[in-house]
Amino acid sequence: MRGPMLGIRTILFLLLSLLLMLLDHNTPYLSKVRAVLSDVVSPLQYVVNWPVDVVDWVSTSVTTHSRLLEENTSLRAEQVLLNARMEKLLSLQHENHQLRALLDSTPQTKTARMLVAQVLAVDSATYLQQIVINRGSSNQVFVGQPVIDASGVVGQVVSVSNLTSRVMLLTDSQSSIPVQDTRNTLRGIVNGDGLYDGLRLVHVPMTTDVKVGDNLISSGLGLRYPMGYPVGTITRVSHDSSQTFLTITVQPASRLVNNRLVLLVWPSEQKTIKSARQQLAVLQQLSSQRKQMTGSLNA
Amino acid sequence: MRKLARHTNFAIILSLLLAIVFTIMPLPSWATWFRPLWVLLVLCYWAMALDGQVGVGWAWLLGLLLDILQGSVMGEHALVLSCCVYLVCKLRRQLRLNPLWQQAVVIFILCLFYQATVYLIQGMLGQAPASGLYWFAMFTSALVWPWIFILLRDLRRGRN
Repeated sequence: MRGPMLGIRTILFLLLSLLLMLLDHNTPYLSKVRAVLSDVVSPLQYVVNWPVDVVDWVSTSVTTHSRLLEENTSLRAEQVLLNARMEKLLSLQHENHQLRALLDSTPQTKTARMLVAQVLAVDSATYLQQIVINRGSSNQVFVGQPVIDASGVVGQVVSVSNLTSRVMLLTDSQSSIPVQDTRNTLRGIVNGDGLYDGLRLVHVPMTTDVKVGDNLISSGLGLRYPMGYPVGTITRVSHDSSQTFLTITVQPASRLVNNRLVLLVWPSEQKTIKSARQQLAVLQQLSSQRKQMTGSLNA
Repeated sequence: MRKLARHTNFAIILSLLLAIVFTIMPLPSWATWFRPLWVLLVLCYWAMALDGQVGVGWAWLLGLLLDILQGSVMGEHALVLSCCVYLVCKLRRQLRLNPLWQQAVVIFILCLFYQATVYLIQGMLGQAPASGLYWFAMFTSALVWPWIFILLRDLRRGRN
């Protein structure tokens, strides 16, 4: 096969891939195809992950007795500490409920359902900040689901297949998360800049009170990430008078890469999210009706 | 003759599988920028060494697999890989006669084309690579090419 045949075939394949790219980027039609193909290739991902698992297993099984004892004592100490904090948290929660009851408002957060997922040791393209986890639609994982770890927000699920799903990290250049400064409840949006530990707090005016060392937590305003989880710490604030906004660098709170275990969160506020969406839809309908009416009046 | 054909098919599939495994194998985050474009290199070898057995169709399929495994937009790697393999098929005769280092130069240019196209597509999607280290992969690819060539030639001829 050579000459014109080869050229024609190449052009056909080019057109096909262009069509695929357009469909995949702009429409949701191909997500099922992607899920099926992901299931086909997931054995490969598990095979690549396997040696890392074996190394983990070997290193845990050859640790000495004394090391295990040591770890055990430190874990016990940590548990006591966490329990103490938990007690305090419970009393605070109780107090919070009472105060909210006084204000006649319903409590916003209830304990959400969570599921531990293992991060598969496979790499994505260098220009994407994504990880693959070993839970999929068979565990009711859904696209847009928030993922956290022990120290903060990790990212959100972007595609799901039966056995695995892909999580876009906060550092991905297409990721944004609404945040709140814990010191002064300033609200903002943190974007990823496409590098391994790069986060930016964007669109903050020059005169705003932000300092190095401020902690940012998720504000829950986007209705995607749950409220109140750590996102990062401000590490640099640069006042460049040639720019409209401050350039603020944020160090992520969670270990985004080199993470082995993450938590999938099912927001318990899904009902409120739904009702908020419904209210929005009603509002939009109303405004469009009003537009139509004013249009007919003008006519 | 048939045995030979079967051996070649086995070699092709084995090498491509290995290339995919090397592509998604976890590396420390600084080293991922230097990862050679394994699938492109192996595809180029087979497109060059055989007469049309591994062509644009294979490249397209493998590109699609890569898109799924790497999380990029579907069709991106498929497009770039089929373009590259088309070029190699066109230049097959000259490439075979060239000494290894000249082949490496051609491969370098091919990798530049590959990476520039991926950069362009990612840029259009609003997700261009954020680091200049992105362009290092073509240097490592060109350096790795002679070894890949010798290894796959021996594999194809069934030498140990």
